[in-house]
Amino acid sequence: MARKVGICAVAQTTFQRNKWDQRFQNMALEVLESLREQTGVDFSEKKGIGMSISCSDDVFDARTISDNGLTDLLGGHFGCEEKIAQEGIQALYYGLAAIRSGHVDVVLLLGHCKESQGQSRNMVTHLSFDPFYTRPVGLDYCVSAGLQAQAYGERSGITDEHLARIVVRAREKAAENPLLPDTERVTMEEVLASKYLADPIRELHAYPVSDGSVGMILAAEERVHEFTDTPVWITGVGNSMDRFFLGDRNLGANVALKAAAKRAYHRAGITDPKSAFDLVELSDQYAYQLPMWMEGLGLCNEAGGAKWVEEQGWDRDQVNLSGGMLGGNPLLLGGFVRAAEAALQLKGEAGTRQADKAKTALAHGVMGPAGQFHSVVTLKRD
Amino acid sequence: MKKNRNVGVIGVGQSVFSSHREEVNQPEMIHEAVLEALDQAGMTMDDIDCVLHGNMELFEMVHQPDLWHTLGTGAFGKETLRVTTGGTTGATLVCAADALVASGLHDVVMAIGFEKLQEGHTTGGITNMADPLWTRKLQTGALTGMTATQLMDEFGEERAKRASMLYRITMDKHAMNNNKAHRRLGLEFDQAEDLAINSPPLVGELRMIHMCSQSDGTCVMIFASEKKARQHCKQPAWIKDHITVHREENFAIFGDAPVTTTHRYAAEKLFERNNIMDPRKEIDMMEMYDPSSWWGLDWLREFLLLEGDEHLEMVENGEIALDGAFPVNPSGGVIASNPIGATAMVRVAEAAMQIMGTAGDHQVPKQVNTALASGFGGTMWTVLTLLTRDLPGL
Amino acid sequence: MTEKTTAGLVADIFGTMEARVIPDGVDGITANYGYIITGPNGGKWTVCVADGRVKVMEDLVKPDVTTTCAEDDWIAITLGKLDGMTAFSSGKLKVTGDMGLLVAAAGFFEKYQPQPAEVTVADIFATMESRVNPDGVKGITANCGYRITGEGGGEWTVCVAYGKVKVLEGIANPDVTTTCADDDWIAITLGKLDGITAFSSGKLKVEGNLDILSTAARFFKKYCPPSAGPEEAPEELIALKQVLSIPQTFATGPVMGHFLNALKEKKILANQCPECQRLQIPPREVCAECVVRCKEFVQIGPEGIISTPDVAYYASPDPLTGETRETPYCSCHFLLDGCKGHETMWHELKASDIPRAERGVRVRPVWNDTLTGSVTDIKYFEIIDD
Repeated sequence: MARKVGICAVAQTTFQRNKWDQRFQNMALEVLESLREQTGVDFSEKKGIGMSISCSDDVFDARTISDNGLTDLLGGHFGCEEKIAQEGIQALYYGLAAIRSGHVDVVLLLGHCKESQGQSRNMVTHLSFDPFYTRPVGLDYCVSAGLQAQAYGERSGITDEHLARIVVRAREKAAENPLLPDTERVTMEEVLASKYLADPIRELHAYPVSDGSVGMILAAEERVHEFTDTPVWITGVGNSMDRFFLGDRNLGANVALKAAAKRAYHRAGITDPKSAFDLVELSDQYAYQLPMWMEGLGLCNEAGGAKWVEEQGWDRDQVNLSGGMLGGNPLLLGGFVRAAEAALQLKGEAGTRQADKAKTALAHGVMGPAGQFHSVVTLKRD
Repeated sequence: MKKNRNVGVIGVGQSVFSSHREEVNQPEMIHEAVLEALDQAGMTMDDIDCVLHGNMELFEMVHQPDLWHTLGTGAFGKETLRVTTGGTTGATLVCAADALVASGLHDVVMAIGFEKLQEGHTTGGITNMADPLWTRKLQTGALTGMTATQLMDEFGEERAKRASMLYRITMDKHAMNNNKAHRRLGLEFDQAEDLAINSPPLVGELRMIHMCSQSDGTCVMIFASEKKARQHCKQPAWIKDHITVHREENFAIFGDAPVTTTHRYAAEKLFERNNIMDPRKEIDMMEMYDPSSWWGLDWLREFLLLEGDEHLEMVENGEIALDGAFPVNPSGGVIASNPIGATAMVRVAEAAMQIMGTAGDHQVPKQVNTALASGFGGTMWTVLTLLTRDLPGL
Repeated sequence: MTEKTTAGLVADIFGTMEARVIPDGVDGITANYGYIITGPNGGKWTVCVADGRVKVMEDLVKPDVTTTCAEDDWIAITLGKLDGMTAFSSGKLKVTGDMGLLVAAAGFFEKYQPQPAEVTVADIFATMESRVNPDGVKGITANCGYRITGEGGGEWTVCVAYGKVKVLEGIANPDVTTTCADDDWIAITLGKLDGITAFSSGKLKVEGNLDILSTAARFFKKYCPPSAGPEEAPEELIALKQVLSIPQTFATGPVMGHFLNALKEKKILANQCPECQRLQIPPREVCAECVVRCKEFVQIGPEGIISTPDVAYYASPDPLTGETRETPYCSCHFLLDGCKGHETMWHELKASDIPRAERGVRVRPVWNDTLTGSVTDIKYFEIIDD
């Protein structure tokens, strides 16, 4: 049996619209210093961090081998530094595997993204499409999400008003979150009057542009207590890839998310997901995704998303107490921040947004057009 | 280190490496190698639990390309992980695949290293590696003539130039046996002097003939747990150990102070923890990421912890030839084929094939029990992978 | 299909029939098949089948069935590019006489393989004017000389001006001259040998302006060997050419930003590690050796010595602008006053100083008139004359 892996510490910068006064190294350094202060961990050969996993993106950074700009502060100088180039939550997947394999005991995860740096994040996600067929059509993640929102909305009876309620609630939570100083409350009327980006998605239905950094220290079970008294255990991971061409997919059906969740639940030994989690952090890049992902994860009834919104199920199920991605985290780090927020809750370190008696949690990340790739992590404290 | 469980390489697939793959698009070129690897492992896509993908986005200007490439990788419905670390990407993918299988998360993992350099601007892509505020305005590509200068200072101009050209011609002779290799020039040893004068210079004494190619190509490897490996493969190549050593962002290696290379540092650590006292004797062959024949020559000394001019002698005596005492790069090496995101994986793949006995015309004529593969990238980054014929003890 | 390549092809199809007979296919058949092939290279033939043998005669000799067809269609049918039944249905192929006999004829012969005609260097140059790629020569004025050595060689000059190309025999005022063996030149033209590979291995030698040669690859459309008609060449696939860019605004941050601001005052700053005391140029947020924040700035230089000079003889064009800097240029690591060991600064040496670029030589920065807070505020370093 492979050994357990625990999250020892979590750190984040604030996430703001434009951190014009910092290059990404400055943001990442804030996170690193906080992690070291919390745990006392260093980069010494025998006892320190054995492997650092950067989560960054060459296109968002406009830099080939984006992690090369971070080597110095990742302890990569005569040390082991890797980079995942996927949704940031995948850093937990890789770190978990590395520790369970026996190769390393202590792993640093550090993600950064400055969505404000490029002229438009849609120009970046446009480049995810193939140059021959789907780029000329003009696709990017926002346009793709519009197609999915229509398909899902029709299936589950989601209306413009449902979407507005989701945004109002997310902004409410975000406004209470000190890490999101730029996100303000909005009213139903403001959301309903917000201009369309890709029908039915309105401007306020989309996650705000932001810059920031997030990190974690993971350790093998026998080393965890050197760094924390309140470890959070990674009990399950699972991810899945859907087909590329949107026309090949059933956009409203959550195919990849269901597969990802099934794997995570299997590994965590969870048979009834509805009762398994005290709190949930979902990557809701666009408002319609909150109920849709809840359905895909089996946390609310199939096609029951509209009802869940009407009942304000997010309060009962403690979903996205952080404000979620709609509160403002970068595309690349959405799932990573969700895992960080869930871990903070379980550690009892979530401050003003702290949930009651949370012992188990689920965190979720998504990448690609209309959720082509999903990744799920389940967490538990002692 | 105590490894949770053993991991074996059971299949390798490579597309043809070439500067001219305009007859296939990116997913199609990946698919070629995927099919070959599955075929070699005696598997279908249904047997694969997880697909790893790596390349460098800015070379082809595709963001998160594993999404589109799903058409060719077969990752639909699978777990995936995407890892990129520059030139070392292919080797890092091997490390990640090893972790995913050894951890018990997966029984069978497919790793895919890919690049289609023809579709972008390679030197521009490498220049963009530099900080946009500083060296991006000064740098042109990944070349330096410094190593040539150092070797000539140390061993005399004539001997150093000759040895680097002998190394180059030896690599070409190896590439001639490898029908996947990109550049197969048919060089002969009696051309050495002519080439040293007539090949156009790039930087200092680094000439075009010394330099690696820019290729299109894909490499795919299939990794399996001990149980699965034994079911599917008569002789897997087992992953004994690997080590990754990076270096800081700025090239602080110039000036008048001695430099510890990541290559030597990594080799010392790896050999120490695997009780290798005499690497030249205890390791049967090496497949090295040699971006130029000057570096290939110089790095032999670092990886094998050699002293004095032993590395020059190994080249001069033909020891590094396919049928020599310590064969280096039976594939023809990086000078012959360089699809960057795949390049470092091709090194491990070649070492694995030598152990598995599946290298065909470039199989070395002796039993390979232990093989070493190196990856290179970033600012003098190194990854070493040690593979064995016998199942490693846990 | 050009006249040159089809000439003789129809005659060759009939001429090789006797050698291509499939014994089982003609077994038990006795008939004369007449063919009228129209067009400048056409003619009349009769294929006589009897006793398991085949005899091909010129002209029509007592045919039992006569087929009439245009030469291009007949070649296409023979090469399998055009289905006989389709040709018949569409009226391209007309039949008179006993049509039933034709059904058996499909199995008479082995597939026809056109003889590969020899590719000659002379033909490659002779066809260049007809293969001009208008986009490729647009805006280019140059004479490219070619010395092709070996028996099939010769000398030619390809003159490009005003979007037109003229190929002259002999070398005439070339801006760049390429020397290459005949076999290698044919291999390069047919795409069997990569031009860069040939150049780097010394098989192809170049004198004069290399930049022109790099544009020459686009002057002409692909050369088709005489043996291969356009129908035979593999389909030429479309390549999508695009320049992709996303405008960026890079934040400099308090460390790099401070360094860049100092350049505006002609000051070069390093920052110092509080633990190992090393200087970093340019200043970075942390010391990679100690992984601690570096806050102290130290002014260095501006004079110093050359530590490692690298003379580059090539330059890549900027991926977005296409501009190429002049070569050779000297990329140098300078050890500025106040620095030691690896504490070097990377910049460029003045081009006219390259012949004197040696370790230990003293240098000073030359600043631009307008200072913007960029590393290129320093134009280059120059050698200080005593």
